[in-house]
Amino acid sequence: MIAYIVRRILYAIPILIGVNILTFLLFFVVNSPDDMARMFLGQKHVTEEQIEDWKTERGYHHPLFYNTEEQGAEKFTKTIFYTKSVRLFVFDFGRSDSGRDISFDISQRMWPSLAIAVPQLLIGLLVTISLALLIAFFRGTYIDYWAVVICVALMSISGLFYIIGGQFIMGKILRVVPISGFEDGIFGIKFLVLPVLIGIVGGIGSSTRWYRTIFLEEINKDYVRTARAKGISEQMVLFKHVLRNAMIPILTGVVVILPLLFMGSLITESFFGIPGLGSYTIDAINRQDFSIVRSMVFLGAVLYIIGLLLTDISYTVVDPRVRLN
Amino acid sequence: MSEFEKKISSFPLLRVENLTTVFETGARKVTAVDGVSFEVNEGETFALVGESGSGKSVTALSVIRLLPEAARITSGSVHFGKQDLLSLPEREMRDIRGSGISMIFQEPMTSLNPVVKVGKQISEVLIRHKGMSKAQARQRALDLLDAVNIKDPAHTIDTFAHELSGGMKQRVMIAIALACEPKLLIADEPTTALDVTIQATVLDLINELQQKFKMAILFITHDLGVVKQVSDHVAVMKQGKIVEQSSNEIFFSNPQHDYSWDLFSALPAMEKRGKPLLATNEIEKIIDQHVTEKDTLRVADLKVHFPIKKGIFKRTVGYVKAVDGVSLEIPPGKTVALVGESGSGKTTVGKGILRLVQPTSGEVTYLGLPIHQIDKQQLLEQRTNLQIVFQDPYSSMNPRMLVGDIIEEGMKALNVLKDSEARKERVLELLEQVSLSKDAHLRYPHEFSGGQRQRICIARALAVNPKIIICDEPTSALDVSVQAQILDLLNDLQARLGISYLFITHNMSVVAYFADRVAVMYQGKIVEEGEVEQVLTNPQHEYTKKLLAAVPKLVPPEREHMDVRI
Amino acid sequence: MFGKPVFLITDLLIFALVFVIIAFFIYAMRKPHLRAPWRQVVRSKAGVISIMVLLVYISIAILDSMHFHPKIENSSVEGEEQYNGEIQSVFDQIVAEIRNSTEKTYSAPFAAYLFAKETVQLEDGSKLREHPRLKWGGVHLDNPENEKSADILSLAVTGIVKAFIAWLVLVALLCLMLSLRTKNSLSTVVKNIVHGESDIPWRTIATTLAILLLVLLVGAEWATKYHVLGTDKVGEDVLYQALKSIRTGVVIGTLTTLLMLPFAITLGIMAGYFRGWIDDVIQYLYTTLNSIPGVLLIAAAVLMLNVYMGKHAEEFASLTQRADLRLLFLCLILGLTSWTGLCRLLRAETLKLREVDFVQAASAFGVGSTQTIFRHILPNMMHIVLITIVLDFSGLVLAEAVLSYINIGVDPTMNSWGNMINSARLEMAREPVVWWSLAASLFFMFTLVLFANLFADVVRDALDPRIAKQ
Repeated sequence: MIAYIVRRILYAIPILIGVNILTFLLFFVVNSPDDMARMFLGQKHVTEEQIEDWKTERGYHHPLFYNTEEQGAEKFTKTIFYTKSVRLFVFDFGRSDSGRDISFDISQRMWPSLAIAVPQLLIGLLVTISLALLIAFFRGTYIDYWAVVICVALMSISGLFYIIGGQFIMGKILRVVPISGFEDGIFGIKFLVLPVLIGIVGGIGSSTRWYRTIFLEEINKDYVRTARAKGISEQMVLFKHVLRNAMIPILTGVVVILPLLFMGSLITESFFGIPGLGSYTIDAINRQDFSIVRSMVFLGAVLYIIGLLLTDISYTVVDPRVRLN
Repeated sequence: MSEFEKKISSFPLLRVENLTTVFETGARKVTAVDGVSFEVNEGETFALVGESGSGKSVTALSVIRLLPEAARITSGSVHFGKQDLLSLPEREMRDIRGSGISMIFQEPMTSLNPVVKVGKQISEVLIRHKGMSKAQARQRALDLLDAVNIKDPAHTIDTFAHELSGGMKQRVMIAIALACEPKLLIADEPTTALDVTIQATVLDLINELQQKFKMAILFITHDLGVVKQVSDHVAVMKQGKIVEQSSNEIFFSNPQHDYSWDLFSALPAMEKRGKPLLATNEIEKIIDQHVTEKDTLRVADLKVHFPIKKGIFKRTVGYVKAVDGVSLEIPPGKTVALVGESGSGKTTVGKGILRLVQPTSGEVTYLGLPIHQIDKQQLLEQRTNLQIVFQDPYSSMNPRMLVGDIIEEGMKALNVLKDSEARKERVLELLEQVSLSKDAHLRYPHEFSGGQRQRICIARALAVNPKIIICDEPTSALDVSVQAQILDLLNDLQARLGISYLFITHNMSVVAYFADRVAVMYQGKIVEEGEVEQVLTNPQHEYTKKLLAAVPKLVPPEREHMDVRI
Repeated sequence: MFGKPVFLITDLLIFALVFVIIAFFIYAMRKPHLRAPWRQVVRSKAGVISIMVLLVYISIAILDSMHFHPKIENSSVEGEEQYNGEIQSVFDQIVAEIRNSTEKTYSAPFAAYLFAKETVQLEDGSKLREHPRLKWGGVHLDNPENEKSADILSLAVTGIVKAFIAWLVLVALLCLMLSLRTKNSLSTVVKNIVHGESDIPWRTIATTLAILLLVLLVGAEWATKYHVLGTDKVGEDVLYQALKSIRTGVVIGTLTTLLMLPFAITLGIMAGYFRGWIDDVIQYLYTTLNSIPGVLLIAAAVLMLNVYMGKHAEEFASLTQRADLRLLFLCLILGLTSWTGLCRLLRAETLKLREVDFVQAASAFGVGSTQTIFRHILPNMMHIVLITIVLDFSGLVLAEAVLSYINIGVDPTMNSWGNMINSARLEMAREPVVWWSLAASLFFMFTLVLFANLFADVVRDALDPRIAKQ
């Protein structure tokens, strides 16, 4: 087990290097820092001086890979590749293009993201699994048929509609909850209700349908027939036998996204004015702040790899058949 | 015993009358069980025999009302004691399942819940029907595991199904079924998925428990040997109908129905050697070719090891020794049987000879060539001499190709016939040789039955004029009647073309009927090798003895006047 | 006919796709095992309904992909025609009337007046705040308050009559064709259709056709006189925008998958078939790509594209071409983030297939790797590829809206549902609410995605051997 985890972590290193090189190429080689500066300062009427200042301020004035003007190790360390990319491996995200400390921002902004994402995930799972189980109980009937049709219809609606519609109805017409905003502490809950609710409703269609498929696949297996041959009622067969087996793909599917919950949702957070990492990223995209986007790409990759590792570990926990080696 | 008690006990335990079960998928209706009637008395074993698709399993599932969703019972009645099972509400039926009537299934691998400990699966049924507490049920489960001859019940009770072997799983299934001491056990091919030695112990166990619990068994199987061993009464099913019902003695000495005779005559056996099973014409050896020493394929000390990788850098820490030093000879025009149970490595020997799997070491010599190390070009040439026929007729043909193209593929790849017209001609000739109609070449594999597909596969192998065909369990997925056709065909081809076979199988009676020499394989090694008569009648090695003892004995009855059948 | 044709890159790819689909169709008709699942598709009601709705969308998309520089009337100089620098499509010509009927600003659906009050100077010099009349919508009415409802109704009736006639003609042709093909009398054919007794659900087809004709022709009738879905902030017709957005959605939904298919198939099969270090490299490649959150990769790539396009502005001949390149780039980058899933599926399937007996049999005949792959492996995985194409379509259409909404989607000058929603985001906060732009884009998108999803379900049921067996 330990050996397995160590191997997986070792395996993660080349992947992170790959991600790093890829983002580096994307950000610095396709377009030179000069181009970025020009873009940032406005395309026209930019003097060379302004560009140099902009670059120096943000540390883009070094050469890309190899600094001929420096001595010894500094030939490599005083380069954009070292300062901007290699430093990411020790989670030194540096400063954003507007001068803020990215690490500090992340540590501040991940909590609002989690406050939305965690309840959304947990309640959503509970609701969709119960619904799917109910539909599976009525399999082959008209209830099943129409439930699937409704699921398909729900998943055909754009996520944007759920948000806009939800804000309009709940916030503007019914005036139950504020449309957007955020507040720390217990009073912040009223700001969380709507985004969490909308997140759950938006995911109901596809998740319910997906879980129903998993349940039906399990229901057709031989061990379910064995359970029925014991004289156990259909409900107990579903709860004690089918659910337990179906939870394996469901749970492991959830585990992989667990770490990514930190990153928050871009759309939800920007719509509801939640000061989380999602809206942080989207603001960065809109302000064309390359440092933040680069940091988030790297962070996302790290979290994804952690997710993969957790998935494998969770398999050994929930599925007695799986042993890691 | 008073008159009254006699009357009660003479009441049949299970009475099935005029049962009809229909499968409906869309607009298609298939009558799987068609007006079946039979009775099972207390304490007796009633065997329901038939080939695949005869409706025997559906009959059993109808009795216990566990049919798949597409199936419906359209008429008839099922009485269990005095209760009419088909009119019971589902809730009351559930009270009977697992306590009055229990069932065990064919596939022990999939019949147990993979994520629930076996002990819990046993105690579940006790808690359900006997109202036991968890602790009581666990105690009883331990007793039951002991009763089904599991060596270490205290350990086994907390294991998961995947940690047990096939035979052990079937024992656990039996423990679950017998937990509430049912009056009737329905056993649906309980030993078909097991090796023959394990089958023997499981059958013994069922028999022992039947005596102990005084229960009746409805035993469903396709294997006449098993029927002979376990049953009191026999019913033969064909296309949803029972064609014959008799007692064990009558059935195995003088069956009444023609179909029963057909089943018996299709059985391969030592006594039928040299005679065709179904065909009426005698086998005639047409080709008497000149053979030399070189024409014998020799395998010397063949080893195929698969590495096991472990640890941080996936170092190879050991090997699975699938084949571990096998030596054999396949003389021209002869059939060598390679017998072994599952996992003995027999299939890997076949693939190793053909270099479908690269052997780890050892030598394969044929026509003076070291097959194990010749280069690609030479190997390509030898592939015309050495061919293979696989077990599963469903996966051995590309479903997207026409039968004609499938047969032609080898000729093309190996340049056997360069002219495409000549190849087309040859395809038709081959189809005729394996008794298929000529228009088959323009059809797709899925349009053919299992037996027909196996004929196509044989034609495909024959297309490149091989001298040796490795037959990897070519008949084990087929019903006995179809198996007989294929064996007849193989016999006929050998006589006419002088082909040798390496016949890989687990079926002793096929060996007895079909092979000239036999090699018995156990855990990657050959433990005994020799002439078939000699090995089967006078086995030397312990394992061979055990294997032969485990095979249910069945001497097919002789019909006084052999009917002419086509 | 209209002017000098222009072929944008996405146009060419769309035509290529149409060509491939038609070629596959003809090929599949001759192979029973390929034809069988599609026959199952056209025999299901959900299948035919969704095919018909999707056909409407796709026809519009194709018409909108035929671009040209319009001819400038009476402008030939020395016998040479002069062409407008602007690029238009055939579809633009068909709906020219609503395309050119811009108002000043917002107007509600079917309105004859502007949505907002304006200060109007009367002839006597006094000023009055009122809703001014529209320049185009409902101008034929003298007194909109009294006449409008009756006018809308009468237009609807005209549309219904036209739809009915068209429907009758089409259904009659269909019956005639069926009776000729099945050699049944016309009355038997009609009776079978009415009672729903036919393999292909012709009755459902006829009903769907009726509904589609009604919607299209009544809508067209209305659109000649009114802004059916209102106008947006700059007075452009919302219906026109929503219709133009169809092409963008369809292009993204299809071309993305099309562009990534070659990579996914080649790499997936190579990894599964050759195993060893090739497998390691390919697995490394897709794990790396997969580990970057999709949205962020797209955001980063689009940001970089913006910088690049800003720097090389002179390289793009026109705004349309620039927007088109950006669309293509978006398809590429979306494809880059989505090929890994298919690649992994195909790798797993290849690993399974290469151990299957018929592949083993082929190697026993010495059939080479290339031939084995093309003859035995690829054809037996095509169902996975096809299922992926149809399943991905709806997800991609939805993704376009989200991406455009956060400004990393298609070019802001391009008509797309995402851009419509983006520009309408503040309208919901107005008093009274301007809802039509948003509603129109969401409705058009919903219809496309819903029927694409239904179609995908039917196709998957027909093609997936695991489901087909049950």
